[in-house]
Amino acid sequence: MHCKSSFYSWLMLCLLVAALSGCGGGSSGESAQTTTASVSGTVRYEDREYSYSGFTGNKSYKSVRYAVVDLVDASGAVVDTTVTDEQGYYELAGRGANMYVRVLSMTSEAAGSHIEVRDYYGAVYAVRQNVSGEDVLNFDIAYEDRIAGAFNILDVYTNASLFVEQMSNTPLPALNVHWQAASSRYGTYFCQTNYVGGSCPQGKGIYLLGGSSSGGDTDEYDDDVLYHEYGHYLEAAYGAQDSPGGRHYLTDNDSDLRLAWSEGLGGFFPGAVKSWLKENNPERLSISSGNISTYFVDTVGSTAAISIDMGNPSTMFCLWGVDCFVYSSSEVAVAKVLHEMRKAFGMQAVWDVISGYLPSGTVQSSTLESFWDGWLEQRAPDAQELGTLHSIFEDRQVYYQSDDYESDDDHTFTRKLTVCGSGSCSGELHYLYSQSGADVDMISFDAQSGRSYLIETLDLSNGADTYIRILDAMQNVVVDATGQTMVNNDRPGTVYCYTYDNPCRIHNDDAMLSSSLTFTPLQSTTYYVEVSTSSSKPAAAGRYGTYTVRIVEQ
Amino acid sequence: MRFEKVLVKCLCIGLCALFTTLAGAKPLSPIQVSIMPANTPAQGQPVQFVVRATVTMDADNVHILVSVPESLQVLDGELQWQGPVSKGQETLLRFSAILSESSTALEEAPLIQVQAAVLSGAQFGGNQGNALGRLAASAHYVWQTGLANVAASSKTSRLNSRLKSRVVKGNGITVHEFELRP
Repeated sequence: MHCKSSFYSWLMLCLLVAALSGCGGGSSGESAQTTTASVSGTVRYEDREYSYSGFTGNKSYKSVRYAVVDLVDASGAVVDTTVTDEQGYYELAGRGANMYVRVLSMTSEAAGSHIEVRDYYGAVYAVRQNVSGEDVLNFDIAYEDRIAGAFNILDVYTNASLFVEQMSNTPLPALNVHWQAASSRYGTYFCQTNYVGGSCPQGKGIYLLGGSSSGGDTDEYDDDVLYHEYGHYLEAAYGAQDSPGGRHYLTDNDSDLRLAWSEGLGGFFPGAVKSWLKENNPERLSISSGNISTYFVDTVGSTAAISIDMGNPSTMFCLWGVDCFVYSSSEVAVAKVLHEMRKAFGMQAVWDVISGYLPSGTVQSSTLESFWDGWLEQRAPDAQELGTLHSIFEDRQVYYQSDDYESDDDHTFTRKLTVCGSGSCSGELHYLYSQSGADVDMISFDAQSGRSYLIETLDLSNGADTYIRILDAMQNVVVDATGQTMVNNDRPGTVYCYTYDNPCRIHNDDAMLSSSLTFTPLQSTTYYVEVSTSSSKPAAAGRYGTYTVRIVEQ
Repeated sequence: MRFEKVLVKCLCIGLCALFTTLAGAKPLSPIQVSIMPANTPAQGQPVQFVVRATVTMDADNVHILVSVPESLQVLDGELQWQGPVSKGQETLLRFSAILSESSTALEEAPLIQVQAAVLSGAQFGGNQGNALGRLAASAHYVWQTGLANVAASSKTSRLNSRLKSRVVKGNGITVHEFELRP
């Protein structure tokens, strides 16, 4: 009996010890390794330095900030969770079997917004290390272990979100980023709707190139490309995204105004964030010391394929060195204007118009025109500020101002345009712009009956889409000697589609939306050419614009 | 008939969804370039390559440079070109090359690289950038035919992560975990 009692006492004691320490019984390997762990450490990833030429070959470790860190047991249950601090430091404690620590490519809101970097199938990345009795478990994620790219993406978007947070009180929505090493199944772009499928297999978010097994283009360390796409995310976050999207080339200056604005904002954003970092947190930058913040660099391999200063674009890329980064239809011009505005008036002022006016302050599409309108409405600039604004916009050949003939808005104006003889004739420069509504230019000229005149608008820029009418002294539309009513929107023979690069894209070039009339007057008298913005202008064109008008006797 | 209408409607919705959802792609260089073999590469036979470059703008000074590794012998053709290009015009370079006899035991496949740039002449040179900027494009061709030891090129293995990974589901989240070596 005693013996029996001793046996049961021993058994109970053994079971108790087993339950507390995980060492009892020995029948289960997992329970055998159940431990209590208290672990802390620092998480870092290896960043690549780049210059105007591409990656320099220099690398350095940076802390992984505000990332979620889990203590996970063998069953996959999260025993404890925390978030790294500014220095990448974390502490975890818990009890379980065969535990490991994992650092997720996912931030808390402390990063300015909730950011997740996922693979193309929607899984969040993590690096893990087993807990095996150490108190300290550091994570150094090396560049060679390509997963470091996910943490660079996380770091860049943390910079961007913190940059926005210090200007805005509105919390940003969660940002999902999709990238996969050695895979370029998708391109680099932003999907703005929740539609799942096609080019957006995980719905809304930023998709990034991951290269291919034989090299290819990869963007996880192209900080400027990452910031560019963040610009698109911001537009969508604030409900100010009106761009039709699609391919766009940096030297284009005849783009859809909505596209030029959106891509120009994307071109501006990298320089804006880097300039802020340079002043406030230079150790988070990846550019070489002395490099200009406004440079936009996109590498292929280790070399820069695109390297252009958005704050001072070089004309060496343009035909015969004539500046091609001009007009509101050029994304580089838009970026340059925004940089100059930032330097002259501060980033907060620029941000207030972008975030406060464009989304809800106007029914118009987001374009440089709307940004201008918002600036005037929000700031009511004095003469000095207006002078600075005009100077900045004129530098990019954008003219939101009165032209030299602005008193010609009705037919009482007596100045007459000289009719050219046949041959070359330069015409007269006008701006379709009015702060108080739609601008109408009225240009008078003398015509002789029995003769024929070509009346046309030329050299259109800044999204102009002209509409012309010929009026008599009573302001009636004229019917000429051939029986034609003297009204024209786009010149006869205009081809909108099947240009070389896009089947049906409107080009804001010098001719596509211009107007022309051949006029054979019935009477010798004074007539009026009325030029206005077409009421049927495509969404790609502007409400404002620049043109020249010419009358040639044929 | 009804089926066709539904099909057309579905296609329209699909296309609209595709075009309205992609808001912003990254900016592209105005020059685009590619390299392709004109004939199927075969062991011991020369391969003719065609390099195509197009520019989306009128450019007065375009450079194209083909870099061929020493393990390939260029038989004929052009490896560089410089000149003006009109918007949309295609510029072609042709050359043929053969694998050097001593190269069949290479451990890494030869890489033919093409670089094209809209840039003034003095500032273009292979991997060198410059302080004024760069609008360029590159393409490459990996020569595999006739190589004895390139089962899986070292280039490929470098690009894939060295770490063991697994996908873990649970706690409302799917995690793609990479095991970091101590």
